[in-house]
Amino acid sequence: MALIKVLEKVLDANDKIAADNRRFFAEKKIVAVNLMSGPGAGKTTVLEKTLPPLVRKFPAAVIEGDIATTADAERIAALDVPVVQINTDKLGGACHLEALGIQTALAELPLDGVRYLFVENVGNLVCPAEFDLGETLKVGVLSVTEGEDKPVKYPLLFRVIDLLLLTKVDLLPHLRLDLDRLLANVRSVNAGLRVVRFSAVTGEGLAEWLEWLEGHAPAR
Amino acid sequence: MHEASIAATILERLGEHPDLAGRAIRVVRLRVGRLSTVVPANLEFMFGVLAEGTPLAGARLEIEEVPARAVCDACGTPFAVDDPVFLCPACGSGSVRLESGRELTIDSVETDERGTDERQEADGAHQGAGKGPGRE
Repeated sequence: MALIKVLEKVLDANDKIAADNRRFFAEKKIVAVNLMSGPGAGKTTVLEKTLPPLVRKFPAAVIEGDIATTADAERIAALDVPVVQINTDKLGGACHLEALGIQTALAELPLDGVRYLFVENVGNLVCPAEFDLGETLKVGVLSVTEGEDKPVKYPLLFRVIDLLLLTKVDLLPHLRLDLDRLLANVRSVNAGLRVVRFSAVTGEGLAEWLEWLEGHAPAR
Repeated sequence: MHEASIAATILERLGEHPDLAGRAIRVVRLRVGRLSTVVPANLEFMFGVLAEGTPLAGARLEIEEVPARAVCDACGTPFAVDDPVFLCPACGSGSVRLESGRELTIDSVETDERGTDERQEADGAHQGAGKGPGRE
């Protein structure tokens, strides 16, 4: 038997493409926001509420990582925002997006003047956290109907994000959710994480979320 | 959940590795961090399935799980992250730096002697044909 040292990162190929994407975003002065959540937390609805006020100030575009349908892309296209759909089946794994898929999608989007690019990841709290896309910001979306334990069950995702949108807060009066425990679980995984309470129904949190996004706009 | 594509990537990287060309690989040693999104047993299974029909057929994947460890930015205390709690046990600060736990690295491989001999013969033949290293 002969022992041969290899010492290769398995995801090196992804990380290199992600680094290319990151350089591309920096050069074009685009803020790329990777939205990650479990299925049904409200990523597409967040975009439907975010885009109309945002695009009045800054042109935006969307990459949709829906699994097999174009339903989410159609909802974005209805807002007159450029959108390209990644069919994750074609990436050989339907659980997350990879940097190569983003690079390919970028070539299909009209990006002249675009300041914000949203990437709606596959609805999954596990795998998307592992894959660097080259994004500027990682945002987690968690709905209050998902219970208190998600942050400690999926610590990597809640550890790597820059902001958490806590959605569907208009439902809180109807739920037996221990909000303090949920927020304590978030803090135990990521102590400094900013949490924005958000409701697509009442509009709560939209202004705070937009302000946070605009705070990350690169100077031109 | 994506163990199949991870296994495929490992096979691809080993297949392309210049030091491994023509060698019979028996064991592949992988280091997987506890915070990675990989389930070791699933990865071993998928590796076995996908290796069939390739030069790595029959090779065994050995996974070393790397514990998650962090260091407190505030007081410098190093600590193990055994539960999903990223707070310093000494001072309670949440400003902690992850030192390990996200690894997903092919550490080494073991090849059998026969494969090594074949490799040497192949190298000899290359040199005989005037094709040394750097022929590109």
